[in-house]
Amino acid sequence: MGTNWDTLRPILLDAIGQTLWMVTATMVAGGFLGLLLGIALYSTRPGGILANRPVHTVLNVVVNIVRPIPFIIFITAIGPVTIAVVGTQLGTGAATFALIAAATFGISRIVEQNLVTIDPGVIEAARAMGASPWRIITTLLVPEALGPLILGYTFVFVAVVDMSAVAGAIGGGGLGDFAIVYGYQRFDWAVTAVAVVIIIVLVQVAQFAGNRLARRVLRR
Amino acid sequence: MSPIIEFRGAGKTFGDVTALAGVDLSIDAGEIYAVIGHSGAGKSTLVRLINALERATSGEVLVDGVDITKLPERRLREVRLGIGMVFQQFNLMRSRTVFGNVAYPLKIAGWAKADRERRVAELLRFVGIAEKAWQYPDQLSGGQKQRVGIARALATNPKILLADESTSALDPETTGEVLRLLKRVNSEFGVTIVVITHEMEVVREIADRVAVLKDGKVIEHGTVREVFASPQEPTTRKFVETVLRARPGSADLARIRQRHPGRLVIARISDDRRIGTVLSEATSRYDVRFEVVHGGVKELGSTSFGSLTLELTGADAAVDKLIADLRTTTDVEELA
Ligand SMILES: Nc1ncnc2c1ncn2[C@@H]1O[C@H](COP(=O)(O)OP(=O)(O)OP(=O)(O)O)[C@@H](O)[C@H]1O
Ligand SMILES: [Mg+2]
Repeated sequence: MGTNWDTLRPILLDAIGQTLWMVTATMVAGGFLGLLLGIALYSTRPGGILANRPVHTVLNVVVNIVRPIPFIIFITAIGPVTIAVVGTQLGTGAATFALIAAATFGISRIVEQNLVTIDPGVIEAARAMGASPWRIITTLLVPEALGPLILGYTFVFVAVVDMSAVAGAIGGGGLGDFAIVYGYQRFDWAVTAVAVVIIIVLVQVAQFAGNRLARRVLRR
Repeated sequence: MSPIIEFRGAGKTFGDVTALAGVDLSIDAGEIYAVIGHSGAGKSTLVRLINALERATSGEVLVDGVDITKLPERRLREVRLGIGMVFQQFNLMRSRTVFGNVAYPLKIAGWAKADRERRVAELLRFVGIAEKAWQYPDQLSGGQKQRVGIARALATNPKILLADESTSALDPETTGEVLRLLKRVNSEFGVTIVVITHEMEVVREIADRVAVLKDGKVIEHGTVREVFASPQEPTTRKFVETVLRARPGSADLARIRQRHPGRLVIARISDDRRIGTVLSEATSRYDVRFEVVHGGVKELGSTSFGSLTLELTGADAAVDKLIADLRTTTDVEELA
């Protein structure tokens, strides 16, 4: 049985487009929200620049509850919220929303863990100079942890590509869906292989770019 | 002169740990004030009360006459702009160049770019690392990093400089260079400097006055000369000993005794306490032989002092007479 690439090609291109869109939107929006949440987790911890035990405890519990939920369950469980925000719980938009939400929580921990490695003495020095907490967050925390943060986001990118493959479950399309529907379900190994290769290339390019960027930032 | 920093019954507790209790201390504008104590004595806590990195839990801390323990955080930031701080581990930002690190406090203080550039260049020249402006902290030696730390602390023209163990991570030679730099900061800009240290040698080299901290309390304070000349508390005496090495320790004494069977006396030396005249006549006039077996004499400001341990050999009456005559010029202690 030969694969009919002429009919599959436009579908494949669509799938690639959907995956790229989902991953990009998630990295941008989830990356930003995760950064904010991670900074909040870090700053409110006891002894932090905005130490606040109740806030920290609440954030911590919420992140701990959401983060371990397997994405295939999360993407359906978040349905009511998705409807409220996106208007529908089906399609690429809905899947992207779920991806952004899940990535925000995941990224927040990675951000927090990287910020913890900043020498507290440097923060103390900034405080001694009269820097406000907001100033410290914007001009010290992020630049000081930038190298490891880039590596952390690169790691997250791979995880997001992985999660985006589940989007098919709610009709979100993408390469994962393509591989299942046109490869696995039709017993067409060649199609699956093509999807796999494209994902590998995508991940490799991201990893390479992330490593290079991190090395540039850390080289001093 | 009115004090620029004043502690009035200041205390600080962390949970049930009392880091400081009832500290009364006043530091004059323009002086170099040292606070010495062993690890855990509360030195860092004390210095951090001055810029309110820690808030006192009791008493008052006055900076320029204002009790900062009552100020809201926002006002404290203004106070901190007028107080520079230098740290043991330098605490430089690794992501910024030397230039960027020194410019950072100026940015916080809202200086315009051109002014910042001029000021940073001036500061780097002053601390002697102008050629390192575009290097990152990781590329510098400890002494160079501390110069950057000092330049950064001075950036906004503070009236007060706090130095918490600023030389403890440095070798003796570099320590000397950094201390001389601090001294220049004091003499050229009139900056009041509070030096925290656990090394009496640091106190001797730069301080005008010193307070000794033990278990969160000031147990002794005074001019460096007073404290060196007549330390009152055992802790202070031990600190003074570390610099002078004037008295033999018990192990030293045991070794000295093995080699020197004569009577051992310790004579205190200072510019106005001369023992040379008496000693030069030891043999001819007293028929006593003497040997210097231990001791140390140091410079302190413009005077020198210390003590020497002497072995005196001769008839008991003759040695007694010599000791009596030595006592007319200085303190002499006979070791049992
Ligand atoms: N943030 C804190 N939380 C709890 N205890 C603290 C804190 N900071 C200091 N302490 C305690 O207060 C006491 C004094 O500490 P401090 O750091 O002032 O001592 P130090 O004289 O500077 O010691 P070192 O020479 O080791 O730096 C110690 O018992 C210390 O454990
Ligand atoms: Mg300390």
